[in-house]
Amino acid sequence: MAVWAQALAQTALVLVLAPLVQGMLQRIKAVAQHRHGPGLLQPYFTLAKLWRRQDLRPRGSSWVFAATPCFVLAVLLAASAALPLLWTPAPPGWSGDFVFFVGLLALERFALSLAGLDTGTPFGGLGSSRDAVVAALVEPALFALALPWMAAAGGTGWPALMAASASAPAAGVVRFFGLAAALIVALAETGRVPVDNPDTHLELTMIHEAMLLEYSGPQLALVSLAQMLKQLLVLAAVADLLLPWGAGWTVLPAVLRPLTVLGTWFGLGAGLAVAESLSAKLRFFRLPAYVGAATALSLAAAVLEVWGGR
Amino acid sequence: MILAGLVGLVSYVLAACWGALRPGGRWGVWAVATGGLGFAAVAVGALAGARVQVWLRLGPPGFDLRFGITPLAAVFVLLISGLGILASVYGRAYVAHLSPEKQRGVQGFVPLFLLSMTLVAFAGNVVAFLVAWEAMSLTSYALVVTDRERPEVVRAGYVYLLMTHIGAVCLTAAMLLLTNATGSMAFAEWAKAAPTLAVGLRSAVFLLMLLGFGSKAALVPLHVWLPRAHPVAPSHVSALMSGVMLKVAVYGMVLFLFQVLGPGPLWWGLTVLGLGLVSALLGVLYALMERDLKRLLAYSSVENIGVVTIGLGVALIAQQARLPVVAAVALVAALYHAVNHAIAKTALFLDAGALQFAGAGRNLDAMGGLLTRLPWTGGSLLAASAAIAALPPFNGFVSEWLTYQALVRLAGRAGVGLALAGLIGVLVLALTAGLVAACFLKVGGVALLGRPRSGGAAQAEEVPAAMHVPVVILAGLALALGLLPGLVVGPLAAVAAAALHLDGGGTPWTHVLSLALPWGGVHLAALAPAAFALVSALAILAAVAVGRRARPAPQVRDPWACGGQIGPEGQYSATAYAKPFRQVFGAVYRPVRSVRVRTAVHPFFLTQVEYEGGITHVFDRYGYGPLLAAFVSLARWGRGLQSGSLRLYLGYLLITLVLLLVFVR
Repeated sequence: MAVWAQALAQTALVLVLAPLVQGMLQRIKAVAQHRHGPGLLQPYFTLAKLWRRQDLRPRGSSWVFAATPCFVLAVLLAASAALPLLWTPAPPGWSGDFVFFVGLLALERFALSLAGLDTGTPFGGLGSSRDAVVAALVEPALFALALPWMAAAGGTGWPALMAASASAPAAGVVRFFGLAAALIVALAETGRVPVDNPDTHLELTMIHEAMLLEYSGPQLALVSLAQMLKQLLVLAAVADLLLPWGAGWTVLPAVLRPLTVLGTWFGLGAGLAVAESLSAKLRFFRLPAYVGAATALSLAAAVLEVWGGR
Repeated sequence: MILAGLVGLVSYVLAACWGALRPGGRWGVWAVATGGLGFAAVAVGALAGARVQVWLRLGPPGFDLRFGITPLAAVFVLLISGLGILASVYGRAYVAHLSPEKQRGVQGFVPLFLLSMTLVAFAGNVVAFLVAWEAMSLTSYALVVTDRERPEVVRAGYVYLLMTHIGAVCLTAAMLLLTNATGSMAFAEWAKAAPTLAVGLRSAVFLLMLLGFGSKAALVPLHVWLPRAHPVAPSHVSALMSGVMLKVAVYGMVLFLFQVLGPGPLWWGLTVLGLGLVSALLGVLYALMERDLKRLLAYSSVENIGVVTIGLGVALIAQQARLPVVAAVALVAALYHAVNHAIAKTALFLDAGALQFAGAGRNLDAMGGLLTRLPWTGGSLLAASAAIAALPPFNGFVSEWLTYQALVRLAGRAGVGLALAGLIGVLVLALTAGLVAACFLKVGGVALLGRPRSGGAAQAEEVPAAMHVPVVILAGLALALGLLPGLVVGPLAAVAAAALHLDGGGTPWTHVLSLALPWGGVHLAALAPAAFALVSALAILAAVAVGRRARPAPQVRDPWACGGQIGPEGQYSATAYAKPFRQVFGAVYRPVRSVRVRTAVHPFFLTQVEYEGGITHVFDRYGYGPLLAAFVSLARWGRGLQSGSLRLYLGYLLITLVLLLVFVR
């Protein structure tokens, strides 16, 4: 019973914290751009405002458009159960699997892209098409992040991966390469600057926003919340995979461990914002090389790991 | 069991007669159903442990027809029977748009096609196997050329016939080699004798088998017939060919590469793995570029057979490296993926046929908005797309998950070189998965969603129940096999263990398999709690959605078009959707384009712009093209011998006679 309570509590916590991480990111970006910027809690206010607004649907759209916001949020909640967060996760008897986590992220993108095409506008199709390209390139890169530990552990379950990460012989080098790759993957997966620009509605550059263009009111609130949740989950996955303390320093007393995890998430989020502020948007067709670099880095790390381990 | 088998045999033959005489009648469907159930009963009996063998003595000793059933064959017989019944139910309604004469042909040949595939699975010696294999090829050829007044259909049928016979020649040669070396024609005897044979001979047999089954399974570069033959056949025939016949080739590979030949040198496994990786990646890349729905599905079959072959390759490598558990996981992955692809691809081809039947055609660029017009067909098409794109909670995800497990376990246990092969395999599979998702997003999004792009799509109506109920059943099956993988993995693990000659040491092999996967507790069924998490999250969100019902109903407005009006032609088409991929993977596609601008009076006054774009199919262009040209020039040269002069022919006779006297004394 206590396990279930922990499981539900951590899923609820990431859902509640996701907008705060988003607020922090926006604040850091504002400071980097010499603006004052909105308060840390602004995403909560925005979501609350949207929730009270009217709901509009584009003419000719089907139930896919209507169901997608709820569906993607549900999928990401399920993904949060497939990932070590504050405690090793739920449901009991199952400790989460990396491939399943990646599969759920793919399912979320699939649903959102379908909704983009369902609007029957050029913008929706444009967003879906570009997003599909980014997704196809990012999926191997995301897999590659776990590759060294997969090779060391011979499995894809989170506990096996994290145990391998803790005891690997060449861990320092692997983590160095891995974090560099993870930065690229996280920027791509969360739709941030060199890949996509979350702050613009300019049709020449937008990817993710173009798919959401027709959503309004509570539906927009749900997809926005889903996007923030996904951002936090990607950060958590990077922390689990690549930081030596994974889901919490084991030397600390168990009570304090969740605090280190929270600190890690916010720290990685801040890193993301800084990296985004320092880079300029890449041309769309330069992306394969950019994301491919991440895959290559991770593959190099994996080869080192295999070489060192055998 | 013999009785059930006889019932199956007689029912299929009766179904063929009824189909040929009364193509629209329902007796043919009942007979196929009886036959399918009869053979399915045999298969279930075999999976439960019963063994039956039947000999039919037909001539000199050794030339008897031997049939039997193994658990491995039983898996495929179940697929053939189940999918055959559903396709026949669909087929009776579907053929209504053909002329009566063609209806007779299709309805008469489909049961024979099913019967011949079943007999391939039952075959226990060379004669039985080759007869059934040839019958399978010929009946399917007859079905492919149903629309024989169209020249491109005849040509597609010809290419199919040619490729399938090149494969059959290789198979015959391989089997004759084995017969000669072991002195027996029975597969069971071969399995006993094969490990003692010389490596060179076994490698020759391996290569011939790979060519033979590879051409039937449509592995790259032997895939060229598939995208030609599948689109032109009636849709339920395409479904059976792609969903079932390709699996019969997979059955052949598992039977001969594992059960009969046994462990071989390392390069066997590496070759198979390499072929699988190339097929998976190229298959999906070509599928992504297609606008013709059925051609797209055909290329997607190449991709999925590639994924199955990756599993087979890893199993071969692991078998050689003495990693029995890895081999078992890999073989289970391959078999499970074969089952999943059979279900999902049958559903997709039947849906494609339904869309065509409803008047929406096959061109994705002319579709749109079909989900609201054909809710059942469209919904099942979406579900099957998600299944084939390996998205959880559908079945395709579970088998890809298993394939990843096999590759990762190989990387974790083998030496540095093999570990690298496993890691690259993981990356290629991940890239393939991402591309498949994009490809089926295109299918689902462009065909079913948005607004209709043509009059045909705007007026399409839902097809009759006989055509959409089978597909909905298949979509449900795809979901069920994804949520409850344990149901299938258990029996498949036993089958795989038997094919690999593994012995669980008294304990059931599934148990051994589950202990071997690291993190303790439940295993190959490990995804069941995950599915549970997904379902419960969905339930919570459904509650949110219901809660929102209390609000004012959403209002429908025109979508934002920068302040203007925009017609359905302004939507992204399938071609436009795939355009960035064409650019990103330009090295593979070698795109060609030509733009012709016509002007009047002055270059500023355009009257017409013609745009033509396409891609180069590398294997057609640089592989088969030169080969064909070489053959043609050889034939031209050979024509010189046929001068028509009687004296010259008499001279040939004399030379032949002298040569024969010299060599054959």
